[in-house]
Amino acid sequence: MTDFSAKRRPQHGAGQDSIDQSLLERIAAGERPALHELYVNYYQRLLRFLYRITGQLELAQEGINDVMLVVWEKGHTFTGRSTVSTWIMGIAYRKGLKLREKSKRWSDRFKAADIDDWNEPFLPSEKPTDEVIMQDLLARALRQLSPEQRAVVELTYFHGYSYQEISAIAGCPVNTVKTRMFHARAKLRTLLPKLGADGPYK
Amino acid sequence: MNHETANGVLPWYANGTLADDERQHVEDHVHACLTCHLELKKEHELHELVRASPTVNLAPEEGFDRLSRRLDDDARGGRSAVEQLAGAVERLWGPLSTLSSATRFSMAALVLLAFAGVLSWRTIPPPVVQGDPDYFTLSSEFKSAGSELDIVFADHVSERELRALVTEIDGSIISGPTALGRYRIRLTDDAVDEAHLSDLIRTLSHDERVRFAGPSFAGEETAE
Ligand SMILES: [Zn+2]
Repeated sequence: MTDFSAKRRPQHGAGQDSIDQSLLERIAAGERPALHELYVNYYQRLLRFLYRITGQLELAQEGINDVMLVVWEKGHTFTGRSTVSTWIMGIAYRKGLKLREKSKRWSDRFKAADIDDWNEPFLPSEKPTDEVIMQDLLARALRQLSPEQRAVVELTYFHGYSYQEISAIAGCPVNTVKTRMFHARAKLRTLLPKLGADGPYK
Repeated sequence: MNHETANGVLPWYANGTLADDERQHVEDHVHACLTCHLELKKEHELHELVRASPTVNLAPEEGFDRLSRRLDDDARGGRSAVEQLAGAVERLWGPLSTLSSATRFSMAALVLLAFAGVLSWRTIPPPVVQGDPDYFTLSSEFKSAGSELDIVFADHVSERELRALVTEIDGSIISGPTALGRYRIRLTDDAVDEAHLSDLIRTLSHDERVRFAGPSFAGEETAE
């Protein structure tokens, strides 16, 4: 029987969590090099996730330091009920939504039409491939979702979290996670009509 | 396991995070339910697409230096009044800087690194949005995108053929092409319903003159 399910991403392994946990213990004891190591380990993940939520690279970068400041100050309160990665992504989730809200208020006030960086900033020097067209479409389709829905999509498909983990990250019931995903999928199906039509991207 | 339950967890079946018993139940259902079987195929494609989507790559060191300075300040028992004021101004103006900042360009260039080796790109300036009243009128006017669609034409299609096709579907080009070759088309009949639009999109998708056809998204500006 075909196994349809994908493999988990390596960053979620139990081995990774024990590395994270010992780093966090050292951080809680005030060891700056341990913070540096965790910072480097999580940087790309957080940058991508925060960028997806906020839509702005500068906000995403600001968000990483907000998150890591909490890790530095509250590391000793980590109970181990979840993995370190879920805990950190949960902090990022809340910071990301807050930053987005803040910048939205500013852009509303100044009547900026679009607060996001995502608008086709690049011009390919050659004819764009189908893949590039499809990725552009995906990026624009994701923008049509709420930040909360976008976070669920990103955490599931890119970061490979379970719905239980996402419920811990987003601080909401499992059913809310499923509902957000349900609406996100319905919307993406409409916006990406080629999905599942005749093979990938076609 | 009933259809709603199984269907609701397909994304996590696809990403391999369901517990063993739940996964088995979903699998049994998927083999018996055509709807879920087809949807799972879409799930896998969406999964692949998101995983393949470009990641911004920036070096962490600069960010960590900023964090270190912040921690040093805190350790010294707070910052001076001048520093606090500077920090407050920076925080207030931070969001605005995204509208005009030159660093956008260097960042855009860094985003490109994600693509390096795959494609060669060059940057173009982002659309000017600041304080342009026409821009806002335009974007709010077209908020309802019900009778609009986006088309990327095949490479071999000439300008004349392109216009002929647009006339065939009783539409007109309202913007485009974008950097990625996307045209936005408005149908003359603006009372067109969703079913008709998706039929049209399906037909166009199989037309050899068309590389891509899809609904246009509400809220996106048309003057690109
Ligand atoms: Zn089913």
